[in-house]
Amino acid sequence: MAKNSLQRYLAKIGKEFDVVLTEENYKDVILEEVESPPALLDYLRDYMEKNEPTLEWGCLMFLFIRADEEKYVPDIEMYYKLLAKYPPNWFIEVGMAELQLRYYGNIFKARDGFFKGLELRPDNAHCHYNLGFIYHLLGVFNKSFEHYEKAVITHQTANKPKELKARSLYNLAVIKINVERDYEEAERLLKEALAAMPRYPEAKRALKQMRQWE
Amino acid sequence: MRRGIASGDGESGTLQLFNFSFPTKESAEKILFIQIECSLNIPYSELNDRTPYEDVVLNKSATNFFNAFPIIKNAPVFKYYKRILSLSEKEFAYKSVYSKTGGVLNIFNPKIRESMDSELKTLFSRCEEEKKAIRLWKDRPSELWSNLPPKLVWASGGEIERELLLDFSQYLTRMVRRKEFDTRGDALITAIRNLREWQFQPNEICSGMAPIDALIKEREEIYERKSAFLKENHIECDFV
Repeated sequence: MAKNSLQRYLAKIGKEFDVVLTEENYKDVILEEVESPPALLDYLRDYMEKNEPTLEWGCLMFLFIRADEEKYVPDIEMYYKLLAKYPPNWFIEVGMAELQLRYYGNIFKARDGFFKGLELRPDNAHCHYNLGFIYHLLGVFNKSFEHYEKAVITHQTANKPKELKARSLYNLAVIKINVERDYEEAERLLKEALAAMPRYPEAKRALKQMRQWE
Repeated sequence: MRRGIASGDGESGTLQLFNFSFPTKESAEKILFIQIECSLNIPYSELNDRTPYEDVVLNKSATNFFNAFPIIKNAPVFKYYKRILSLSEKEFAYKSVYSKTGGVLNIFNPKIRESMDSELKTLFSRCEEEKKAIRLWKDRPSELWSNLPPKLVWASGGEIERELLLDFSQYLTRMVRRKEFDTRGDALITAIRNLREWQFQPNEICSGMAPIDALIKEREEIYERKSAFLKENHIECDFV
């Protein structure tokens, strides 16, 4: 039975993506598929070393990654479920949390998914950034602030570190303006955001708007 | 002067209810329940300056209230009023909070169940007495209801919140007009981001206060009134 499904996955990957997965190459193929950031590649290397997954896991991960890239929801969910029998891994948990948030709008489920992500990779900027956003949606601004701050501190673990840092700083400034009415601190944060990402129209606009208030 | 800036990130599908656009059927239906919840906390001369809530609790029946407002009996919302006004013992137990809407701040939240309440779970496991856990829990801001503590969710809103609900519905309708959304998530996120922006903008309905502050102030007043009323009538309640 397991052999049959493995053969099916291998055939699908060969036919649809023109990739041949073997016991020897599947770990390298998964790392190539994920590509970056380096911190995630280190995590996956470590995961594969510790858990010694099988070729079937490699096939399912490959198919999950491709479904995630294509944003094809039924396949993302199917491969997520099929991967559930293996030790949990950050990549699929966070992929699923993003689906819960952006596709279904299930904010509480997404929150739980990103927390699971943090358990698997503590101090991960991507999870902190998303939790900052989720707590903003939940109207819990103290927690939103906390997570955006942590995203700034850990931004180096992100795919686009400078962009994530700048966006987190911008959102911290928004909380300072809207919730705390601390315009001085907001200005400082916006300037810092622009230093991290000079081409950031929203931050420029916000600074301009604040100057008009003065 | 309006001082507010939008956070960075997404947009939504629309459901037309009268002339409002709301992202999901559930949130459009919730408008009705919030309106009813609010109206039950407003004192009426027809009820000798009691609120419908107080009248129903005192009479242990909604008959007097429906007789005072016969128009409701013939309205399509009658069944909803009947459902909300069937105030049994359960109304005074902590679990009743999960049957409340949470008001305009929580209009886009899913149905909240006790199983989602990790704060309560933690307190139950830490406190030897259940009553003590509930006493602590009812005052703590909860992320299940936009940081409102359970006691203010249970108390519900009043006249100002009812007006603010209408104001927000119009605001959202303006903001999402002619916008198209690819997913339910996209629609919901846009609506919630608009809500979080709106709640901080000074509003004439509440004399220039931000809706968030006015809603909390009104709910605190309603909570005080409900607490005093229940104490006066020797009715035990987990929230008092």
